[in-house]
Amino acid sequence: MESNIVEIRGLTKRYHDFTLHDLDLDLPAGCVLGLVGENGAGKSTTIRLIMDALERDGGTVKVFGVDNQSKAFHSLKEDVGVVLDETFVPEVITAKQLGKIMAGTYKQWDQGAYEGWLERFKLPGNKKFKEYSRGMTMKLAIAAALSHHAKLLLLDEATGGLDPMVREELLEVFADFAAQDGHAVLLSSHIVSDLERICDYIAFLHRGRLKLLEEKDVLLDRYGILKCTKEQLANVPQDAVHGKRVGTYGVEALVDRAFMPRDAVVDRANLEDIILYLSKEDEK
Amino acid sequence: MIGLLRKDLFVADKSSRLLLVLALLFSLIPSFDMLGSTYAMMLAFMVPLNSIAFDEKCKWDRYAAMLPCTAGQIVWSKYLLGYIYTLLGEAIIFLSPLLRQVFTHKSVDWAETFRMNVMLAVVMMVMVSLGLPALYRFGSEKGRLVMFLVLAVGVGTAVAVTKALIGDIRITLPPFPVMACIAAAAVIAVTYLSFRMSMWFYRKRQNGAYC
Repeated sequence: MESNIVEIRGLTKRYHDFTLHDLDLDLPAGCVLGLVGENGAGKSTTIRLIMDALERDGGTVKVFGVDNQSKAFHSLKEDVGVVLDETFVPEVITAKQLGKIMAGTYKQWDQGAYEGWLERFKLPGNKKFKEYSRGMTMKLAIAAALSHHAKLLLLDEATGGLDPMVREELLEVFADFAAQDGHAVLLSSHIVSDLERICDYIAFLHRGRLKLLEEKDVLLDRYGILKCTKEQLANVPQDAVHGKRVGTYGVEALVDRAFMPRDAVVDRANLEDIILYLSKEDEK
Repeated sequence: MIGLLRKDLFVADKSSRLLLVLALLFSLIPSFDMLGSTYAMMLAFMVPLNSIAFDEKCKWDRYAAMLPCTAGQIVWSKYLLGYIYTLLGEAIIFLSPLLRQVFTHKSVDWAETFRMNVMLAVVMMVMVSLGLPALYRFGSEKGRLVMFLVLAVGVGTAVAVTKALIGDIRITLPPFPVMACIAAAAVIAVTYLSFRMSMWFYRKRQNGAYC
């Protein structure tokens, strides 16, 4: 049986203009969980709450089975590598200096591993951070996150704004990491195609609420795109329709394939279709 | 904690090196020696201020909260940074009479210099304690103004009170060791209160207040 590396129950955080509502989420060992949602849906808030970097208003968060508000969690942070969307160290710092900073921060810091990542990512050690491109910045953040023997990676938009080549390279790194025994990755991203490529589970946050949490393969099997006329759609069980786009010549709808008549032509939906239609369904 | 301090020292490195050299140069020129001491003293609160400004720019606090560091360590590291530069400033203030003695062969009253330095260290540490809560509450931009206002009011009040006391009542200062103990107790008390305030503001800021 898979054990959960992260277990979230009823997690709530209220801001004056936004609330993360009653979030339940599990991240099993050996898995990559993709957290998807629009800007301001609560993805970064969730990651900060997992690390107890924000005060929650309700619910519980367990990481490696330990309550994240207990004292024991402080030392467990050694086992969590974090990459944030924004820049993370002052621009005058170099990669070499970052290594020294991290060596003074993590007891488990592995300088050899860090230097290995710098070499693999072709990152210059003496160049100031402000001279780095976005891709180099993210690679440096990932190098730091992977150099203290973390077992859990929390990645907040780590592939955003990167060119396809770099994204490809980083996704491979994340997939390799998750494949190691007892490891897991939580990856928040706007780029649904990235999530579709490497995630085992998909969690869709919409306006602070968890709209769905499902195995990716189950989602892809369950949903399909039906292209038909308005009249034909009216004959489809309405419970099976999860959002539609009405055009001049017909209708496109996200449907539950299991409830479709045998003669209906249902195309395979990709993750982006599913997310888009489900978010529209909510706006109805 | 060591990592946090290293980060701040790397950030402060070049600009503070220049300030330290300038402070030393000014303190060696006879008519500018007070300017040199003032420069050296300013370092103690200018360096934490600059450090917080750099942190804000890259949202370091968000990242630091993810590291195996407590909020107390994150805040306390700025106080330590101020104290490190207090020590460096003190070193310059001590070094300049020594160098002047070497070059001009004029004797220096080392006991008096020591007493002055201890009191200057006290002033610098109090300045750090007065300034940091303002920076955590208002951020580096507005906080800079509030910090200077607090310092100006603090120094102005101290000068006014001292003048009034010396002008009207002739007070006899206790012996230096007693004065030093009183000053140390005052520094501890002010630092404690300041740290509690900084922690309060830091936590509020982390949770989205003051944005």
